[in-house]
This record gives sequence, C-alpha cells and structure tokens, in this order.
Amino acid sequence: MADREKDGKNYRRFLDPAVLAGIGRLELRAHQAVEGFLAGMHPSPFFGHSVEFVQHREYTTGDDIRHLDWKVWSKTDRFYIKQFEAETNLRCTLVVDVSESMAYGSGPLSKMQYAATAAASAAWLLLRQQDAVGMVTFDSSIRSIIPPRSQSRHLDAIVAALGNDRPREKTDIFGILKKVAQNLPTRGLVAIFSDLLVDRDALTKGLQMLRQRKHEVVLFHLMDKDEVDFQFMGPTRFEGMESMPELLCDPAALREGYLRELGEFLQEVRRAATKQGVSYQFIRTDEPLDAVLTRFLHQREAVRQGRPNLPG
Amino acid sequence: MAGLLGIFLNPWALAAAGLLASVPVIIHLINRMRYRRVRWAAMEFLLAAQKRMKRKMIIEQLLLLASRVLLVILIGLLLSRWLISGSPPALPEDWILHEVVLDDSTSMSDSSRDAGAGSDSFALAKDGIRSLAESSLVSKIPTRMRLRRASEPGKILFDEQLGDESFGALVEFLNSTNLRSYRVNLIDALEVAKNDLIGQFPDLKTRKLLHFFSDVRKADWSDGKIKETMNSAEAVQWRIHDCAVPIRDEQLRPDQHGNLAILALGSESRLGLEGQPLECWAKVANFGAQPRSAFLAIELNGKRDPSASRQIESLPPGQIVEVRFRIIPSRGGSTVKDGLPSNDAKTGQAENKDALKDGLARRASSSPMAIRAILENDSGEGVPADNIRDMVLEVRDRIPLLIVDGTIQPGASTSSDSLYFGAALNPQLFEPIFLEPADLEKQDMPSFALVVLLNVAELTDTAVVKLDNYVKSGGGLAWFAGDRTVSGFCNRLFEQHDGLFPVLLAGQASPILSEKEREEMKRDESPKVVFPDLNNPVVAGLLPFRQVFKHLRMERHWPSIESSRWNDQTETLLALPSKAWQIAGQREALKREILDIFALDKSPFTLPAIAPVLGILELEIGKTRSKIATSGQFEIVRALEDLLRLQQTGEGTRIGQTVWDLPELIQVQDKLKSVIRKIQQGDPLMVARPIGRGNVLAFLSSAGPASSRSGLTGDSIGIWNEWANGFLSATFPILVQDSLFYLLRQNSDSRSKEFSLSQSGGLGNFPSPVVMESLYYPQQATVIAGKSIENSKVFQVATKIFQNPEALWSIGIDSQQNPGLLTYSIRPDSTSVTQVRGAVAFNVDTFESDLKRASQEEVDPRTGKSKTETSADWFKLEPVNNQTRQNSEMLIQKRSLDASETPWLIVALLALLIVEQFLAWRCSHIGGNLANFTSKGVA
Repeated sequence: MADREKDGKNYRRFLDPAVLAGIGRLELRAHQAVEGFLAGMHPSPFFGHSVEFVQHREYTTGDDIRHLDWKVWSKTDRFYIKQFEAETNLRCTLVVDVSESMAYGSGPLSKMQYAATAAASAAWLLLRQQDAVGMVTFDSSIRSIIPPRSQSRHLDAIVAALGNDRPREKTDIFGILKKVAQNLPTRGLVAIFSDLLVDRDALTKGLQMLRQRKHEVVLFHLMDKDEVDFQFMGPTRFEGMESMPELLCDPAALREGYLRELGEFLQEVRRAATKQGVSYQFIRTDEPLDAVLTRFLHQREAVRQGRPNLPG
Repeated sequence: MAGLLGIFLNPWALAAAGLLASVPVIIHLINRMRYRRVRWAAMEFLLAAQKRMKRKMIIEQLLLLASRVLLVILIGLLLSRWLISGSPPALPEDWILHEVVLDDSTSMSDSSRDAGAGSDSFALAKDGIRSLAESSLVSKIPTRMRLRRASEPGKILFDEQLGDESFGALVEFLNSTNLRSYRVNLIDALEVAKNDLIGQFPDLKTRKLLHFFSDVRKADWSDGKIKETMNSAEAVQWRIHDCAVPIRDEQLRPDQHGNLAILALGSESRLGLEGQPLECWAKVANFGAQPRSAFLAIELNGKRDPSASRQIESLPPGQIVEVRFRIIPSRGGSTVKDGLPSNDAKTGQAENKDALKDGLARRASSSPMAIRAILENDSGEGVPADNIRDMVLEVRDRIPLLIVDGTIQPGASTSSDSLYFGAALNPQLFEPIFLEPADLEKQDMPSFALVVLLNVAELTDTAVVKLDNYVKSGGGLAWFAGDRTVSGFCNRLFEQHDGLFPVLLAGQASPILSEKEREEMKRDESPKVVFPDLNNPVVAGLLPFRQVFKHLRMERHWPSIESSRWNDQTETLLALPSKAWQIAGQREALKREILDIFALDKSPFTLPAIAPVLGILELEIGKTRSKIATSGQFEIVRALEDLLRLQQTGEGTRIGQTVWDLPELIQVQDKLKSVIRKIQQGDPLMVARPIGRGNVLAFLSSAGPASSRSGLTGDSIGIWNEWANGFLSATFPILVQDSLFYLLRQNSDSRSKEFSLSQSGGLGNFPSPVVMESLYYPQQATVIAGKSIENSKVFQVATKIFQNPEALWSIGIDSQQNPGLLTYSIRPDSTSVTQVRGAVAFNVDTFESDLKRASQEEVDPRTGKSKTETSADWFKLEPVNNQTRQNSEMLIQKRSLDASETPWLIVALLALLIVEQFLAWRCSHIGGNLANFTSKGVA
C-alpha cells in the first residue's frame, strides 16, 4: 500500500491519453490505466459488503463509521474497519461505437481508440471486482456481441471484439439499442461509448427503451478536441465521413456558427439523457481516462445500493 | 490632383495600377487553391453553420477584400511621392536649369513702408531667388541654378547644382550682393542670358527656365524690346518675378509707387567767379499720384547753405518743378567735402613761360566747387539715390578769355575790333589774352573758358580741329564778323564741323550804305535792332535801352541764308528790323492775319474753358485791334507783346501766369508770336546754338565800327556799326558781357547725358568723356598713376587711366559703385609742384526714378497672339512672394500637388489599416467560451 502511494504519480500518468497511446496492446493499456486509476484514488471507498470477512484495515478519514469493528476498538483502543468479499451480482454491458466517425482523432488517440481503451479499462476494473461484463460493438449494425461473464480471462474476448478493420457509417441507432436490450435478459448496467453523431430521435427512443427494461444506462459522449474547439485556420476542405458531403471554407469564418450548432446539439443530447434518466458524461479525448472510470465506479455503487442514476 | 490624373493618362500606368489593386484578389484566389484536406466527422454542424453564416461571411469577406485593395492603392499613392520624380510623365527631364537674372539697377532700391521695415525691391528679389532655390532643393530631378546680375550679364556669379552646400553658398552670395547705382540695360542682359541658356546641355533633356527678378517698370518694358527678346526663344520658359514694392495685388494694384527725384541740377554758368553771385537751378519731379512737399537742401563744398536751401511747398503729381537758388561761388580749399587741398595758382603761373605752361597755370588757377542738392521728405519711401544730386562748378577769380583778332597788324598788340572789344570787358571779371590767328593752334585752348574770334578770315585746319574739340567738349566760342570774314570758310565750318559757325552766310556782306541811305536811316525812328525773345538772358540787360535803339547806327552785316538748315536749337538773339512792313501788300496781309487770330466768335474763344477770361480778352483784344488800324510797325509789335503778357486774375491762378497759358489758347499764343516775328524780325544779327557740350555764338556784324584796312575810320569800306563807339556805346559792354556769359551756360541736355551712368561696362566706358576738359592736362603731360592721383577715398578704387581719342586726358573709373563726387589731381610729372585738380559729379540716371509699373499686357509677349496651354503661366505677372512658391516653380509644385502630399492620405491609410486588421481579426479570431465543452459537461 505504501509503495502504491509512493508511486501514485507514476501510475496516474497512465491515465493520460498521450501516454496510453504509446502502449500498443489494448489489454496492457487497460491494465495500466486501471492501475494508475486505483493508485491515485483515495484508499478503498469502493470495497463492497459481503458475508465473507476478508481483513481489518485501520480507519482513515472518510470511511463509513458503520463499518467500524467496535470489538477491536474495545481491545486495542484503536479504530479498525472490517472488510468483506464484495458480491458479484452486477451485470454490465459495454456498448461501443466503432463506426467510421469514431476514427477521427487529432490527438494521440482517435475517438475509437479512446473508447476502446476506456471500455477495456472499465471491463478490467469490473472483472477485478467480480462483476459480469459483456460487450457490444456496432456501426451500421451490431458488429459483435460478447455476453457478460465474470471470469477474469473474459477480458481477452472483450478486447478482441473491440477491433474493427472496416468501419461503416451509423444508420439505425434505435435498432441497435433495441437489439442490445433484447440480448440483456436481466437488468444491469449499460455503458454506451459513442460520438452520438446519429439521429437524435432514434437515440432518444433507444435510450428510452433501455430504461424501460430497467437497465441503468451510462452514456459516454466522446468528442475530439478539434470537434469541440474547431480551431482550424486557413482554407480547409472538410471531407465528410459517413456519406456526408464535403465543404471548402474558411473555418475561422464558420467557427462561430459551428460552435453554436454544436452547443445546441450537446444541449439536446443532454436534455434527452436527463429526461430518460440516463447518466450522461461528455468526454474530450484529450482528457485523462479517470473521468470515465470514476463515473463507472460511482454508477456501479449506485446500482449496488439501489440509488438512482447519478446526474450527468 | 492634376499630376495624379496625368499619371493615369498613361495607359501603361493604368494597367500597372489595376494590377496592383487586384493583388489582394489574386492572393485570395491563390489561397483558395492551397487548402488543406480534413476528413471530418461532425459535418452536420459545419454544414448547418455554413448555411447560417453564409450572408454575414460574404459581407465580411468583401469588406476585408475591399479594405485590402484600398490599402494597396493608398500605399501606391504614398510611394508615388518618391517613385514619380516630381514632374508629370508627359514631360520627363533629366535636368532642370534655372537661369536667374537679377535686376540690380538703381530703381530696385525703391523701398516701401508697406513692405515692412528695411524691405526694398532688391531685398524682395533676393528673397525670391532664395525661395526658388529652397523649393528646388526638394526636387527629385537634378536642378542647377545659374545667377547673373543684369549689370554684368556676361559674368556668371553662381553656377552650381542645388544642394545643401551650394544653397549655403548662394545665400552667402546673395547677402553680399549690392545694387548698382546706374541704369542697366535689361534687354542686353536678358538677351545674353537667353542665348547662354539655350546653349546649355544641348544633349540632355533639360527644362530650361529663365527667371527675371525685377521691379517690372513701365519704362523698361513699354518699348516692347524685352518682349521681342522673350518671344524669340521657344526653348526657354520664362518667369517674370515682380519684386516691386509695395507688393501688387491680384489686380496688379498699385500700378506705381510715389517717388520724388531731382532730375537735374545746374547753374547759369559752368564757371563761377569767386564772390560773384551765380544763379542755379534744380529740377524736382514728383513721379507719384499725390501732391507732395519737400525741402531742397543745398550743400556747398560739404556745408549746408541755408540761404540757398528752399522749401518746396507743392509738387504736383506727375510734374516737374524748377527751383532756383543763388549761390556765392568760393574756392573749396580744404573745406571741399572730399578733402580737396587748397590751390596755389600763382606757383604755376610763375614758373611757366611758354603757352603750354601758361595753360597749365590757367588750369591750376581753377578750383572745383562741390554743389549738392538733397531732397528731403518725410515719407522715407521711393528711390533714395535720386534724392541727391551733385554738380561741380569751376571756380575762378577771373574768366580766362582768348581773343583772336583777324585784323591785328603785325607788331601791334590790338586793332580796332579788339580795342573796342577789350574795352567792353570788365577787368574784374575777365582775363583776356589777344592773339593773331596764326598763334591760335599753339595755344592750350582748353585752359581758356572762352575763345572769341574777331573778324577772322580763315584758320588752319589744325586750329579748326582744336576749336571743334574745344567747343564740343564744353568750351564757348564767339564769332564777330567783319570785312575779313570769308563766307565760304564759315559755311564749311557749318557743314563739316556740325555748325561750328552756327549759320550759313550769303556770298557777300550787305553793301556799303550811300549817304542818302545813311541819312534816311538817321531819320528813321524805328529800332535798328530787335529782340526776338525778350526772355533771353542776352537781351535782358539791353531791354531797358530798347527805346533808344532807334539811334543805333547799324549799316552793314552778313546776311544769313537757308535758315531751314539751321539746327533746331539755334536761337536768334538779336535781329535787324523786318522790311516786310514797308511793303503795302505784305503789311495788309499781316494785319489780316492778326485780325483772323482775334476772331472772338470762333474757336477757341467760344470754348467753355475760356469763359472766365473771355471778358478781359475781349477788352484787351479790342484795344489792340484799334491800334492795328492806327499804329506803326513797332507800336503794333509792342501792343501784341503787351497782349501776350496779359496776366490772369482770379482765384486759383499762379502768380505770373498769363491768360495764354490756358491749354486752349496755346495755339493762339503761338500764332501771335509768329506774327510778331514776321512784323519785326528781319535778318538775324546774333545767333547762338549748342554744340556738343559747348556753345557757339555768331555776331554777324563787326565788334568795332569799321574795317581793318582803313584803320579806325575805314571810310573806304564803310562803317559796319557804331554800337561800340556811338550813341549806344554804353550798352556794348552789356552786350559783350551777357553774350560771353551766355556762352558759359550749362548745356542742360548734353549735361544730363554726360552724367548718365551707362550700363555697358560700368563707369569706365562712357559714351563720351564725363569730366570737364578744361580741368585736364594736355597730351604732353605725364600722368603718373597712383602717385599723382590722390585725395579721394572714392578714387582709390580707380584702376584705369587712359588717353581718349581727342588727345585729352580722361579718366576711367572701373569700380565706382555709388553716385557722388569724384575728385582727382594730375601733375605733369612727378617733380612738378603745379597740379591740376578737378572733380566729377556722378549722378544716377533719372530714368531710374519713374516707378510706374508695367501692365500684364506690356509684359506678356503673347498679347494679340494665340496662347498655348504650356506657356499659359510663363508670363503671368505676380508678386514675387506668391509667385516664387506657387507659380515660378511650377514643375516642382506639380509633383507636390499629387495626393501623396496630403497628410490626410496618411490618416486615411492608418484608419483603413485599423479597419482591415479588425476585419481580419474578426474573420480569423479563435474565440468563444471553450469551457462550455469539457468533460464536466455542457453548462
């Protein structure tokens, strides 16, 4: 523990996309990200309750005093926390967009790579806590479905599914989410990684359907910094992905309008997610991964304790 | 802006300007081709933004483009100041050559209080030249200036390319340049400058401008010769810079400037006798348009003489007033202003024996007297130099007189004529020397004030030449005729020596009177001599005796012929009575002529201007008319003379003004004088005229009563006259003396020329000798330059002494700068004690006093011709202070006239730059609140 604290800063650097980009294998990348994430976290706020005692741990500020072992206190006059083996009844399905638009990236990681790293890290984190993790990738249709498992080696299957050599455009998001819902027999956590460049109504309907089936939904909205800031200079020919037309323009002149359109889009998505009770998280691909993983852990805790979704 | 238009009149310049202005568009199009490609996911927002921003974007881009195009144009304008080298492209030059002629004549000293303290025309002209050079300094075209004074047109005083260093030299030169005190021939100066300018830089493309800085006086321009000079040079552009003060306005007003001047200063005699009063006069002119008053101060030998000085109460505009004053001549001695030493006449007289030495003694016995008139007025304006006038009076104790008697017998000292003549001379005034004609040529003639020839037959050629020179250079010569007079010789002198004998004589003298005729003459009550001009000084002394001239015995004379060939200046001083009245037909015709003149019912007596005096005229004419019917020849003459002296009375008339001075009656007056002359005047008896600077007089009868051959009685050839020895012998000395003084009078016309300072070559090359020859030493004398010339500060600058063609020593002065008195002394050799001292007065030419200004038409040589565009401003008469900066440097100003000169262009450029930068910033600025789009979610 002491070593981990000592090396915490070193581990946290693996949350940085620039650093993660240097790591070739996705599994390793996910592993490093989670290690870094955990090393930087406050100790043990996420250990669950279980009937099976694991160990005592000295009380630190922030621990729930309900978990204090008063017997030990009476004997030693010191505060200790009782820790138990967590339950593994959480079923989490990671829905990752691998369409053509996700291939854009101005930084070290494209949106696709960022989404894959985030999904793999989340899977690794969940598997480590004995939760069942499944995976669905899609573009114009569902590309692969990995059913939820809690075995640790299940990660390999998840990572293998995240590859997509020939990305295609997104067409029917509602149909895709509908299929995802149909493939999940019991309620659980659905985490969607996408840039959401789809039809807004279809997206709303899809989220609505997931929520109607009692799934907790976390929506990770990934966007590249170029797409957010639009800091292009000089004459530029924008060639549209996913069958969009191309446009030759002075981006500086269009920037104001672009940002306004983007802002309206984000507001609309956010309103739709809030309306449907979906946890919404906007992610810039140049930001560290801990935002994703933190949101995951919070959401998992909320699900385990029967609390409503965290606000976006 | 005209210059700018001129630039774009060139199609190539227009194409270049278009290309330049389109640069931003071209850059924009090139940039459009050099785009980068981006595969973009969020195209839907981009397309929506493009749809939303399209109109605004287009407007902003167009504004940006327009501002950039304007920027290019404005920068182009700014650069054009340096790139377009000052002249319109239609007239590109390699050189500009300014040929500047500075009028440095005396009239340029005219000053005006309106022009500011210390400002005169010459200072204005120098300022103008300085301004011209200053404005040329900024020219991109190499500019050269050549400067010359009009007084020395052949001498280029400044010839350099204008730059900071040469400008300094020019200013220094201008500061040290002074006016000339004499008249300058502007035509010659401009002609020389023009020809010189045309020959300059024949191989280069040169703009040649001839600038003339002058006061542009009417007197200089009215004869049109300067315009001819200007007209004959196509390759030269002229600029006339008007430097007259006060500065004229746009209507060329005022057209003259007031100036008072002494036009002439003289005396009744060129020779003054010490202690004897001498009448002098000064002619003062008012060249202005307003009546003025002034004080005429007289200085004698440097000391002011209050009794001679006069207050001139009224000087009417445009008129000349003669002011008379009387002086007492005195030898200046050491009191002469320029330090003349006193003269010891006796020293010279004692040591000389022969004629030349006697001559030297006579010369040395004279002293120059300096007379200066100063016109003082309180205006302080005008030409100062013409307010002072000098003259030199030769002062002697007695007048040296050479009397040549043609009848003198060998061995005798006098003859009949010279005896009577000598007796008529006042020994206090005259110092006569009697000679035979043969001795005349040996004499130092200029040492005498006068030469009198009594009954001389013929003279040797040498003597004639000497006489000719003597008279023409200022001497006085009197002829008294007699039986020895040879009419052929006299007529030859008239014809071949410019009237050395003033009239042509008939072949024979009048015949000897018979006893009967003599008796008739005695009984005749009419005067035997008449006075044609009662105002003539010669007859002034005789007039009191006019009534007794009927007793004069005047029997023989030499009749004159062909009076039409006489010189216009020949005056008949005395005449014999006319015989026309004795002839009935002629008498009646003369009476009719008088009555015609007196026709009061005809013009001019009917004119309104005559009305005020018509009453008195009617009365007096009536009296005269009645006398015509009843009186004899000379009663009628006197009646007519009395009528002509009729005084005008009433308010506003001057004292002494006669009725006949009215302009309308001048013609009547002349007719009356003519008829008086016809009634009374027969053959002339005494005639005089000026020759050169001297005078000659001829008395056409004898000085003595009889001829030479018969001694004092001379009955065989008859009595000529008995003026010297008869009933009227008391008047003979008056006649002789007044006649001799008349010969000594100053010849005012020739005198004014004599003192004119001609332009060519300064004072050294006068058209005629300027000094008084009677003060010069003859040819044989040795003049030692530098030793014998002394005493005068002015004279120390004299550099040249030369011998003139008439074999008289003359003096040339090269460096005389100012008018005034020049004194000198000459000795025959370095050991001689005797010295001849003299003085010369140099006065300004009165031509320089008239400050009337030329009009635009008088200056512009294109008057009456079609004017070309290019020369439209060449001859425009404008004041120098405006002209030099605006018009005279037109080509430099043309460059300056383009828009790049204005500071507003810079302001506009800066404003446009700010707008362009704002638009560019607005079109490319990365703004917006990026915090709205972070992982923390959208606000």
